[in-house]
Amino acid sequence: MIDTHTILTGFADALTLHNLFFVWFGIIVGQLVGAIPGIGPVMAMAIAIPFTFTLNPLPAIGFLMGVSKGGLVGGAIPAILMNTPGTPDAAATTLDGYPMTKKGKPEKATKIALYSSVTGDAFSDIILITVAPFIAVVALKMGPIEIFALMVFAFSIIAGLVGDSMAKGIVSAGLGLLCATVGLDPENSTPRFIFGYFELYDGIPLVSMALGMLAVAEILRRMARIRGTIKSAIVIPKAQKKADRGVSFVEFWACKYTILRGSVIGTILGAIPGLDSSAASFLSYATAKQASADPKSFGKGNIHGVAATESANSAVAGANLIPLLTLGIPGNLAAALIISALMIHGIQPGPLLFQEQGQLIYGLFGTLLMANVLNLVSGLLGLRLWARVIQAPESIIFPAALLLCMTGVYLATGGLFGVAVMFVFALLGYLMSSFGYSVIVFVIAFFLGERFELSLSQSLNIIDGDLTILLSHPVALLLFILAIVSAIWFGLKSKGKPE
Amino acid sequence: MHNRISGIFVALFGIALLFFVIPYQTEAVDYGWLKPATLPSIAAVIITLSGILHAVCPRGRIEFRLSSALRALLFFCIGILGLCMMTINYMMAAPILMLVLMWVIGERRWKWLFTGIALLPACIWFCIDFLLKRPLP
Repeated sequence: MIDTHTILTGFADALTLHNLFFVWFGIIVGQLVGAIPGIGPVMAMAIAIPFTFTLNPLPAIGFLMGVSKGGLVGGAIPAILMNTPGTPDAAATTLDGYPMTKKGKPEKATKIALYSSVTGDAFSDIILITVAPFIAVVALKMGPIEIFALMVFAFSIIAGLVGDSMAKGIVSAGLGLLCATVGLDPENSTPRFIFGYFELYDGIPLVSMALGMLAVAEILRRMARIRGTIKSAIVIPKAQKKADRGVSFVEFWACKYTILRGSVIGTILGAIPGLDSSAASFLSYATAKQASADPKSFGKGNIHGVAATESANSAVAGANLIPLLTLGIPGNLAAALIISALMIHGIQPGPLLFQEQGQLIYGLFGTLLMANVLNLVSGLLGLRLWARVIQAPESIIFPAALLLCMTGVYLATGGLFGVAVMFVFALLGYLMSSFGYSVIVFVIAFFLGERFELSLSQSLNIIDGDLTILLSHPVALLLFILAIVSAIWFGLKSKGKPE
Repeated sequence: MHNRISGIFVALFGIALLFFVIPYQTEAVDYGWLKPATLPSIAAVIITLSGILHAVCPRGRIEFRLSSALRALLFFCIGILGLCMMTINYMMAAPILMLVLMWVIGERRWKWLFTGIALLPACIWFCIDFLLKRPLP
């Protein structure tokens, strides 16, 4: 276990003005881009990664976490005011948020969304801080065979849960693994798939892949959809009753069980790799409606509906870091981007992180807690401002995002080759998402590819052709069986309708 | 139908990888359990089998529209042209790229065009070249 001195030093690092400034800046950026439908915090995080190179790891990760947390708050603004979720996470918020706006209570709706979001986020952060070190201790006892089995199990779960077809999920995972093998192989150091480009000896640049698949592909899709229309402005009516402009303590306290239930659902689902916050928010909404004495009022502007969805989707953010920090397995896109930022800063996520980078980890935990406070303050001060700022037309937002992606990748990879690779992945990302192949599974498989190959190599050397050795690794055996069972289960379970 | 075609294409891609790409793009090594071609071959087999499975039993949604795809391809080509121009000079390429993209989207209001064409590239240059001292192309 980590000693108290390291823990306290880590928390002290989180409280430095330098760190707090970048976290706060990230939150501002996150709330702003979250409020702009189509951009979202994931795209903003992807664009921001190359610009964090000049920072130390803690402010860099803190900035990205700020963008992620701020985005969850910002995403609720257009969902409530325009019936257009700024992020997919906020889709369920429209169910009761927009009816509240139509009733003339937009500020009340945005404020309960903010309070619930911050409460859910803080809840999951506290669970992360208390649970993660113990999981890491258990994870450290795992050998290469167990790690390999765990990754196979994680792939089977992620491929099954994300998207609407198991076969498509497996194809995405296979493609991600294949792209991860570009460059020198870990056992023999021979070049693979370099096609005469010496730049590929180090593998496909992480930033190029991430920005191409996540940001540029989406930018191309959004630009293709614009047909000369100008983005509609958001207007907050001035003539609101005083009681409708805020949330009283009595109203907030009345939502305590709804928020707690949402936070627990979000935390549990967030800790499972592959499940996104949309699932958590819809599940929380359904359970809140079920538990309500007046279920018919849901969908017609019930404040509990907004509290349920926002607490759940924000609770996913902290819980997503549990598998990432303890096992090195990113659960969703935001976590995958955090893992890439850690790797770019020379930090390998996984159980060893707690031993080797204890101060950084507790600095990150302190940063997450402070980010919640800053998120609340910035949200209270900025909700009206974001609603005004997001009136900028899409005709400038998306070209500007593309230019920033190109500039960022150039800076990160040190040349235009990386930008060209980014465009190749943008095309791949566009085609994959158009045909329903999960980009999330691809990205996660790409990030895990190198470790997957390494643990496979170590496992094969340990087994040395004798499969009976697996019997002396019951945990690995159990994980392999679970992987097969889950693959069959998700394969048989008809999630999508047959064509 | 699109779903089934995508499955066939994926399966063919996997087969092409197995028989044409992997043998020529990896080196043959005759020692060790994990050879350079092992994991790529496993991935290719998985892709092929899943592609066949998907072609036989297609499931899931498709959001492919030819008109949107062609328009996206147009923006992709503009981006590539921007990249080619950047090999000459960033400060020349960025405003032209912004102008073409905004114009094709349909933006005609001068204040937004000015913001995109002049202010944004200038802002990027100021932050990166001037403040961070990192050279732009």
